[in-house]
Amino acid sequence: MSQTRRDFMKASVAASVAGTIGISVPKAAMAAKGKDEWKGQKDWKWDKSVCRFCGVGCGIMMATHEGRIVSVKGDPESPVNRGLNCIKGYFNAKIMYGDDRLTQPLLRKKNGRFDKQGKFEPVSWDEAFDVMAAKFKEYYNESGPGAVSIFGSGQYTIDEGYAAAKFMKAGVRSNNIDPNARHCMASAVAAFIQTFGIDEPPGCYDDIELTDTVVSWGANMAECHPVLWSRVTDRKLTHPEMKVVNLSTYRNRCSDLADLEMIFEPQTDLAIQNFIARYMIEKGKVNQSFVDKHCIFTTGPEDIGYGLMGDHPREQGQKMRGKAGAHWSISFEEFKKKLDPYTVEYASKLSGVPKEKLIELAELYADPKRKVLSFWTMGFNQHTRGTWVNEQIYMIHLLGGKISMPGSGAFSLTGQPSACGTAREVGTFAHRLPSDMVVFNPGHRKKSEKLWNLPAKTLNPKVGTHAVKMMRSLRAGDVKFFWAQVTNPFQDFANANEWIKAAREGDNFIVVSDCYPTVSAKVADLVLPVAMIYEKWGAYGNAERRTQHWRQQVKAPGEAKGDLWQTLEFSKRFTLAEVWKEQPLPGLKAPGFEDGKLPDVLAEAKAMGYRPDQTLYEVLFARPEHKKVAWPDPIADGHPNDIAEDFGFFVHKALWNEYQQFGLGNGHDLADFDTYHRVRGLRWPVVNGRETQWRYKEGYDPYVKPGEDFSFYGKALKKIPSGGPKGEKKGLPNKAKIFFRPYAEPAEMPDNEYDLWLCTGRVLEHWHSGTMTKRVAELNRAVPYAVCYMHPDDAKERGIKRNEEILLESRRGKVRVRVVTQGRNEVPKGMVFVPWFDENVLINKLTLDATCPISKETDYKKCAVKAVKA
Amino acid sequence: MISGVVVASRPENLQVVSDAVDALPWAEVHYSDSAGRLVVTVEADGIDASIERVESLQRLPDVLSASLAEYRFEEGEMQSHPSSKSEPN
Repeated sequence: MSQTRRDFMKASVAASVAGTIGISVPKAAMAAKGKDEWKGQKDWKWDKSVCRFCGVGCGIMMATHEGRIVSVKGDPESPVNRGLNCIKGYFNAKIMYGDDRLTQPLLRKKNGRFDKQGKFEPVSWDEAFDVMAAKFKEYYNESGPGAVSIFGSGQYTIDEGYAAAKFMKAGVRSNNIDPNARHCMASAVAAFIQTFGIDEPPGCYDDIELTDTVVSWGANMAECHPVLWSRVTDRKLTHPEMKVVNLSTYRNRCSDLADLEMIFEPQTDLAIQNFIARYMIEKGKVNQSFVDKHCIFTTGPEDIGYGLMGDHPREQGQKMRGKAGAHWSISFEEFKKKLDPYTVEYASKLSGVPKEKLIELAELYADPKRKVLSFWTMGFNQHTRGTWVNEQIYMIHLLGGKISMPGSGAFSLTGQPSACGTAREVGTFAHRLPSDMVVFNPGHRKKSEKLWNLPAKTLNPKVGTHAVKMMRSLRAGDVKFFWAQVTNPFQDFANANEWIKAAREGDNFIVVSDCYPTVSAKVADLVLPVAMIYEKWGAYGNAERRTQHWRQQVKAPGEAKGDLWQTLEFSKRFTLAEVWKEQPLPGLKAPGFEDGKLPDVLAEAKAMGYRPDQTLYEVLFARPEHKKVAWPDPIADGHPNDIAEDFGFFVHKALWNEYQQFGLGNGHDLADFDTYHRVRGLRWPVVNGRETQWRYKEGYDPYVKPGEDFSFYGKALKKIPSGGPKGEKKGLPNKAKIFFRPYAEPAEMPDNEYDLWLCTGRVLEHWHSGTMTKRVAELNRAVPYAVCYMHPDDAKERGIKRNEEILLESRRGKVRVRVVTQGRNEVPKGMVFVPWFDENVLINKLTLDATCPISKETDYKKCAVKAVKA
Repeated sequence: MISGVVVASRPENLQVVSDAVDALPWAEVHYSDSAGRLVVTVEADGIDASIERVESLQRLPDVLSASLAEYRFEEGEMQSHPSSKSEPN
């Protein structure tokens, strides 16, 4: 490239970046930007899309030329990232082009037949589905809907999650569908439902540019949500009075920007939160009129266990194990009394944080003039008291009235691109139906049966197996068919050795739909190759309730097919007679149902005009009203849609139209399909074409009536006993709950033998289990393998040198890993940190499958290990 | 390839950071503002080198963050994928 051309390109890039971040530039430079005609660009077709990775939901612009993606850049018009991307974002195209992309179904075979001990052989889609349906029906006919399961994902597109949930719940009448989001967001969800009666954050990213204070708890935004962190950095630099606080169990990159860094002992965040509440009350800093008008004080049982198997020593004497979610209202006086032990001395002793730092933080929350925005991720959610620690952050914000207001809020960040949009909003959980409805509520089932055109009592009222229970049931032989979609469970689950063994050695059939040969694919009996994000149409919902759709850009390689296609094709192999007959369901006890049985609904189905030989495909996915939604459609603007071509109608739009009905009028309103292709996403509820930035606040949220100021209108769990667990049940319409929750020790702590804490997490360059980012040569070379971050003194005491390989071992398993004693993460003495992206350092062999007993989310942040020279 | 990078520093460190960036043979400061932000272009042969260089900007003293904002390839730098067939073992 000539020097002139290079200078021109540099000037053009610089002007474009300056424009993106709002730095004014001279006119001549703007002209260079406008005259941007580098080679080839004229023929390129640009389209907006969404990043494949984390829950921030950055917009990207993608250029295609002759059937391939030729350029990716941050979308300057996206309100989320305003043209910026993190390093992963630039490789959204490259994730699809790894050398070992799966392009054919693969089945374990011996002598030409399926054999669990056989080797993988390429098979046709027909053979794959034939064997898969035969195995499904073998177990299903023998043991009923409880024997089959789908393990889904917070990376499902909305249509994929919706189809999978509908197939399981309405089709084969099993609630055994649960997503990997159970491991990442369940505690946040449980706390939203318990506190507000409705899921997802009140506020939005706009709060960043409006706040005076950002407090990050148990998160590493600088590495895991880099684009949001760049917005925090920008606010800090342009608003000098702003304070940034980083609370973490080890020093991470967020500390570079922080005014106040607090490194605390694992699990003691609960004690710090209680101290802050106590301090606010003691100093008279409670926003009394807000609390009196809009809140109620509550608490629940304390001896709720650790979500381990019942025979585990830690579960003994935990009397309220099965009733962890119960709660009741208490008086303010009682609330105050319960906080009494949490003095600054006690909080400091437990947490190891100096008293003056604790007071400094409490002052930030207590100052009535200061706007405060709290962020958190897995440090809170992956916690044996995950629901509590989420509720306690709302306690602090509600006491000060610092919530649902421009610049003030408590914001639960997400780690997956559609943990909110699909896993939560669609309801791909064992207990959920779309739009925050639940399977055990007769009214919710009735509404869903109506919208899905099902006979009454088709839907199963018994909560299915949540993720951890699904693996335990696989081990016990209760679940025998397991289909993983858009996720890598055998690398992701804590205590991984147990589940890998159960899958390989048990009487069961494991199907894994994935794009690359992951750990889970290697464990599977059948591997189905999938079309990746830009090879299909789809939509994600990000952490700030923003729903974003995209179009297909390129074709999938070989015979790879989207997950939506796979679910719909599979559903063609089931007739109503096979699934809507009477079904055994051990343990079912629900009003209107015979114990242990789902009723035969075929007679009512017939009365509704169905035939017993109709397939689930016809009844659930290709009804006349679906097929009316025609493909091609002008909204495609020349883009392909392989799935619509295969089925002969615009499947994505047809399912969207149906799904949209669930949310209208109940606080989850979504816009119509075409609208999303014209805008950069919209934050629900979308009412009369307008999105909602701050929920529950008059003037912003259309559901709040004039004069109410605030209304916490969520409907779930709003009728609770008053005064104590056996008190009279009273309704609490439009109120938020302020919970008291005590500090409780972790499930496993370091001792003489296993003398170190192990914390797991991510690094910037890789995402989740590395399935995609490990395939991008540039990212893989930047961070080729997982390392163990260790304090230099701990290394020295054990005779370990830097970069030396060690054996890291827990009671459950061991891995070989290299030690690093300095770098981006600085762990305190007594702790090690190992990221989990690397299948060659399968750190989840070591982690403990203890969960929050309310949310059933695993604590990946705390278990005891030892380190020895290899 | 050319990458556009936003480098953030505290306003009082702007000049020091700006000088340090300009001293690098492959980086050029184009714009800055009173908030401490600099718009920098980075030249490199390919993405590997580019990442390495952006990360080394991140490691400069007094740099709070270095975020990639945009990049441009020269013709032929963005590869398509080989048609692949592989199996888990």
